[in-house]
This record gives sequence, C-alpha cells and structure tokens, in this order.
Amino acid sequence: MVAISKIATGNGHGENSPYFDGWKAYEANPFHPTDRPDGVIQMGLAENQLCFNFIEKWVMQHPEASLCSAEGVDRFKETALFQDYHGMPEFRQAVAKFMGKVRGDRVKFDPDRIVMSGGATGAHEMVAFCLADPGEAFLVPTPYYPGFDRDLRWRTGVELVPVVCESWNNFKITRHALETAYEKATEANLRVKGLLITNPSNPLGTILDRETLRSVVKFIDEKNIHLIGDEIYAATVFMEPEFVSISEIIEEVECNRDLIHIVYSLSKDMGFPGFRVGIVYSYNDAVVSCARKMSSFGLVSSQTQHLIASMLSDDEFVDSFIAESKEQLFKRHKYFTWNLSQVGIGSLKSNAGLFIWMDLRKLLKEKTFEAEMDLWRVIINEVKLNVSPGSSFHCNEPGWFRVCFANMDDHTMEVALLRIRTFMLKHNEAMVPRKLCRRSSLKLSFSRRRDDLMSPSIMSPHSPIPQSPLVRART
Amino acid sequence: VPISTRVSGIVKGADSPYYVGLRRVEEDPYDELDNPNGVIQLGLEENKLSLDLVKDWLAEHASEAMLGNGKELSICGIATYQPFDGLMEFKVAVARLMSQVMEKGVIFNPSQIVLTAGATPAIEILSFCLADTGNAFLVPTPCYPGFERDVKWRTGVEIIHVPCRSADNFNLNIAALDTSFNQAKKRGLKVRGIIISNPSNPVGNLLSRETLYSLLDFAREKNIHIVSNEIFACSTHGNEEFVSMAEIIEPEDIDRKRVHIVYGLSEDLSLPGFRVGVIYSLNEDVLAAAKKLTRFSSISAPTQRLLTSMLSDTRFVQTFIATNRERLQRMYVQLVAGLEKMGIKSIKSGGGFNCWADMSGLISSYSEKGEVELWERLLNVGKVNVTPGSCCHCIEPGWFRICFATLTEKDIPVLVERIQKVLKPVN
Repeated sequence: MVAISKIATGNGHGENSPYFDGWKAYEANPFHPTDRPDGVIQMGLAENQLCFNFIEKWVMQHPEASLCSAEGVDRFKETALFQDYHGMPEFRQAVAKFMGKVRGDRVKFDPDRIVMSGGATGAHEMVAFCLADPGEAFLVPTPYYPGFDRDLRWRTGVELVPVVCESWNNFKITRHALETAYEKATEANLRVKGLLITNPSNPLGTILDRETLRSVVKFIDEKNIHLIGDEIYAATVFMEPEFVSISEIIEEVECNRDLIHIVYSLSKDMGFPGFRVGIVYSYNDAVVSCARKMSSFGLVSSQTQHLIASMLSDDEFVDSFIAESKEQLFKRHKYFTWNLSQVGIGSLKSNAGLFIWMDLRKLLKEKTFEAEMDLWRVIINEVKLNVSPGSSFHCNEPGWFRVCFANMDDHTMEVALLRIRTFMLKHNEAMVPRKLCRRSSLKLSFSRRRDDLMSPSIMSPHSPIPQSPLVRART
Repeated sequence: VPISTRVSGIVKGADSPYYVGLRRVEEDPYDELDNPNGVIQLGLEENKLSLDLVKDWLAEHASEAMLGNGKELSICGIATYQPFDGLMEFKVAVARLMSQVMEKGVIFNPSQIVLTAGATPAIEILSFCLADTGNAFLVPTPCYPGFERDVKWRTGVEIIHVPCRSADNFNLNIAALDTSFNQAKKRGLKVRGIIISNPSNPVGNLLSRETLYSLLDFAREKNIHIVSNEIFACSTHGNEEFVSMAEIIEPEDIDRKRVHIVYGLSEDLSLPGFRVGVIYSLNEDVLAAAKKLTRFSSISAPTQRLLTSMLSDTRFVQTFIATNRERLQRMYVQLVAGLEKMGIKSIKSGGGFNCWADMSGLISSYSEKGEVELWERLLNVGKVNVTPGSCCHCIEPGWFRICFATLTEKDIPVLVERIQKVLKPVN
C-alpha cells in the first residue's frame, strides 16, 4: 500500500475540534423554512448576507462588468489570458481605494503593495510562510478564530502562542498579557516572529481602542517582531466608536514599517466569500515581492478581478453599500441582542462583526469546559442551533459562545429567537425556587444557586419574569 | 528585519532568463502595426489561437450565462461560502470535458475530482499530500520550469532531475529512472513519486502506451506514486495517439491508488486567467486530504458558474477541440518549416505549444554559458524571447524552447528573419 504524507494523514486540518462538530450536525440536518423546519439553524458561520440584493442590483445594472454580456465580452480576451501575479492594475487600484474608504479616507493605500491570495485563509497562510520558518511562533490574543490553528500552522509548521485576555476587562489586550505570552514562548524555546491581532475582533465583535493599538505597535517595535493586522471585518463596524486601523496608528507612532502587514478580504465586508478575494498588504518591500510570487498558488480569477475593479470604482455604489451594510448590521444586531436580553441572556458589548459573544456562564452546571461542552451539546441537539463554544476559540473561561446573526433572513432569525426563548423559559422554570413555583412536584437540585436566586440586584431590568439570574444583560 | 529563510530561495530566481525575457517583452512588446521592432514573445506558454471561439460563445450565450434560470442572477446563491474543492455542477462539467478530451471511452468520475485555482496549486497540493519535507520526487528533464516553485518552494520537498537524452528524442527512460532512484536511496533521500508531463513539456512528446505501462511497473516495484501532468491533453496536434494514465489504470486495479492526474483549463481552453486546475485521483485518502487543502486555493464561484455553462455545451466543446487542434498543427508546421530553412532541427512534437529546437551547433561553447549567450543575442539583437534549455534543466546545452501558440501566421517570416540576423555558425 503506497504511503502518503504526514500532512495528509495528520490532524493539522483541525476538523476534529468541536467548532466543526456543530457544522457536521448542521450539515446532517440543515434548517429550511419549508422543507426542514426542525433542522439545525446555522449560527456558527460568519457570513454577511444582509446586503446581497444591493450587489445583485449593481451587477444587473452594469452588464459590462461581467464578461458574459454583450457589453463586457470585448474585454474577454485580455481577461481570459491575464495570469500575471501582479494582478490587474485596475483591480489593485479599486481595492486600495475601497480599503481607504472603509477607514474613512484617513489613510491612503498604495495599489502596488496589494498582493492577491486565495481568500483571507490563503492570505494568512502566505504571510506565515513569508515571515516564519517551521518551529517559529506567532503570538495570538485569545479568544481567536479557530481557523488560525489550521491556516497559520498546518503546512507552515509555525506555532501559535496564546496571549490570554480575560473577561474582567472585556478581553482587552494588555501589555502585561503580551509580555507574559512572549516570556512563555521564550521559556519554551520558541522564537517569536510576530503578533497577529484581529481588529475588529473575531469572535468578540469589538474594536481595539487607540490606546491598545498604540501599545501593541510599541510592543512589536521594541521586540522587533512583525505585526499582522487581520482587518477583514473593517467595514462591519456598525456603531460608534469608529474603527481605527493599524495603518492609521503607524502614522502616529514611530515604528519600523517593515514589521507591519495587513490581511484583508472582501468575504466579510462585501459578503461574497464565494469569490475568493484575499489580500495581503505589506509595508515591507521584501515581503510584498515574495508574497507576490507565492500568490501564484491563490490568484484571484481574472473574471472576478474585472468585476470587482468595476464595482469598487463606482464611488456612489461603494458609499451607499457601506452605509446600507452598516445600517442592516446595526438593526440586526440590536434586534438580536435585545431579544436575548429579554430572556436574560447577555453578551459582550460590541459594535462590529457578524456575530455576538454570548455570555452563558450562569447556565453552566459548573465552571468547567466540560460543562460548557455539555451545554453546547444541549444547544445543538435540543435547541437545534449551531453556535460555537468559546473553548474552540481558546477562551480561558468557560461559558462564552459565538453566535452569528448576519447569515440568515428575518424569518430564520425569528425561528432562532423563538427556539432560544422557549429554551430559556423552560430553563427559567426549572430554576425557579419552590416558593415561586406553581408546580409542587418540581425538585430542586442546585442548592448553590439559592443565594443567587434571592438576590434582587441581579434581576434583568427588561424581563417581566422574576426569575433566576442569568447573566446581567451587558448590552 | 528577520523574515523566513524560505523567502531568500524564492526571491533568488527572479533573474533567471525566463523572467528577464518576460520583463523585456512587457517593456517592448512586438506589434505588427504599433511596434514592429518590438520583442516577439516566444517564451510564454499561452494559446491565443482559439480564444476567438470562446469569445464568440460568450457573446452568443452572454445573457444565459449571466442569468442562470432566466430570472435570477447566476451569481445568486453562489456568492456565499461554497465547497472549497469546487461546485459539484462544475466538477460534473469538468469530468465530462476530460472524458471528451482524452477520448477512448475513459469516463472520469466527478467524485474523484478536486478543483483548485489553477494547475499550480494542484501540483503543490499533491506534493504536500504525497511527500514529507525532505523527501523527493523524480522528474524527467527537460521539464516545465515552474515545477521548482510548485513542488519545492513551500513544501521542503526535493526534485531529483532524471535527464533524458536527444539520442532518445528526450523520451522517458525507465533505466534512467531506476538509476536515479537507487542513487537517491544511497544518499538517504526517500523518493515518494515520479512527476511526468504528458504531452511532455517542453519537448511535446506523447508517452506511448508501452512507456506508461513500464512506468506503472516501475512505480509498483518501488512502491511510489505517479503524478501525471496532462494539462496539454487537448492541445495535441498531428497524428499520434494520446494515452492518458486514466486509460492505463483499471478501476479495480490495486495500483490505482498510486496514480494522480493533474489537469486544468489554462492551456487546453486558453483560460489561464480564470484559474481552473484539477486533481484527479482514485486514492480516497489523497482526495480527502487534497479536498481540505483546497481552502487555500479555491476557484472563484462565479467563474465556476460561467464555465459550467460553457462546458455543458458539448457541441461547442467538440468544435473547439477539433478547431484548436487544427490551428495548433498549422502553426507548428509553419514554425518548424521556418526553422528548418535556417538549418535548425527540432524534436517532432505531438502536443503542447512548444517547439523544442536544437541550436547546439550555433552556440559559441558547448555549455550552459554558450547557450545563455545565444539566448541573450536572440533577445537583444534578434529581439525574440525564447527560453534556453537550461531553464528547463536540460542536460544537453544548446536546446531552446520556442512557444508558437501566441503567434499569428504573419509573424513567422518576421521571426525567421530576426533569428537569421543573429545566427553565426561558430563551430
């Protein structure tokens, strides 16, 4: 029997983690409003589907942007043959302009520093290949996107060292946490080559404030390590405070620009992950040059480059798309979080992203990750929602779950909320002490909770039910 | 500032004649009317001969292709995350195309297909799946220059070149493979497979059925893989029979697990910009791993949708295949005739876009240096960009790769004149 490689047979793909178990449950029984109304609702996929009709309308109104139209077919020949890894100039210019707009035109991006990749997934891997050798490490603040374990490590052989952030200060990235992680890596004989931050954060949905960003830049400059800023959710900031990009901070803080790299993509901000548009933007010439050659492994289809160049050059469209997208995200976020708070579920206060970081700590039987997994299994199997458990994001504290809200229509959202409400009401009933409970047969088995139950200060301000304390609503 | 050591190896190659030549053409491209003294491109493996056929199809079927079922935009429903290894509808269309192209009743099964953003990542993914860092593949030379990048750059896998000889018309020699395998073993280098191109690149040989069977025997004996790069399968010209590895492997054959075919639309359909590559394998473990790796190199969904429409028009595909072969044949014959007039012989090619020409009698010294000198003269004085055989790792100096599929018939006399200007028999 002819053998294959370790990479092929190993677990580097990470698909055995619980993050993907929920997906498997969803794939086995996906919700459909008419065909499968009892199926699992996918709330584990960070996809932005709220504004697709906007894009659709634009494509229909601009047939010349699609090669497959009488107006567009003249560009066909050059486009079909175009495989230059520099990418079409008009594509790079349009993307650079878009990136600037998303940052309020407070910074300008140089089209010549834009390098294509196979989605943000490909971009991250490419950056890792360029910056680190096998066995070297990147620091990554927790909680972080589970895909990093695969994208940054699988084929590259690079290690990830967590920078532990904690709920007591809303998971802020502190200088102390950075130093601790760096020391830990050094003790483990790992050479740290860089720090990867995701801003806006996945899974938190928050943005880094100016002070933190400055502190991060100072840190990497001092240690002479790279800073990779994953800013793929930049245009999903739907509320104050305003997004601040690394590209802005380096104008304010002295640092070695050869250390600064941004990973971008159109998958989240524009909602078309199927187009596979990933971007590496580096301030380091050698990295741009190398990444560009490596981009041969993940070039963006020229047909897609052509379409995007047209679309993103349409200033009017871009401006109204960005505004509309923020509006839709804001509305959906508000509606979703308000409804959750109605049943006593809180979440981390957030103003960006396609998800919320839901706080179910008080629902845990005990403060352990096993209990988190138990709860998660209940949510998947009984409530029939695929949400993502915090442990898969390497959160140091059990009880947090990432819930995506932008990948479904209003009807599906209502179904999801109804299921949550039903579950919580059942749960609340079960938690109500004998005194308040009308059903005398109810047995209580959670004596620890009694004190909590009786404390008036924990009642949710919005809930009409005098009930057991789920978490103080934080929104 | 410290970056990875991988980077230095990659940046090094930028000054090879291959890239220098490409840059020169970019700066000063020949155009019959606008720039008649520009550099004629003979160094890029592209096929412009039949693009008009594809363009006409698009012009005619434009709105159908854009509006999937008449009302809904065809990009609807596919802008979201799709399976990274390709839409099933596109796999079905590609499998059908491969069956049409490779003929002989071989049916390609869409479930054995993994789609990638071009043949470049297809080869890299197979390298990652079949070999560990430090292992090696045997690659008969002269070979496609891009293998250095695709097989080695990021994988840490080695390539062992197995030279083929002009005396054999640069055909694959199993005895040479055996020797290289044993030498590698002695050096402690573990060989995991052989990578062949059929039709071969740059020479254009079609591997005979016999050779393929012998190759399979060899692979079985050494218990290694075969990667058959068949991206020029549709670009055959002349009368020879093309035999795909798929014909050699029976579905129940135990050896099916060691054979993997690479295909793509860049060469055969002249669509390199669209980035469509294929891994075809009957080894479930390899497919499973490759599938997961396609997340780094997926094909853009709207492109898949557009091409599904096009490939589903089997009559168009049939016509394209036939017409394209005719045009390649015509251009090839004219180029060879032009070269012969100057006393330059070439290996008879059965497929691909190249003419593998013997200019060893025209180089100042029988060495790579002499070869590169001639290449420079051809580029700077003759203003034609050809590829010196050393870029293809040819062991015999003086051979040059001349790509003819970007030419028009009018260009041939011009380029003959230009080459004549340069040639001075030195021996």
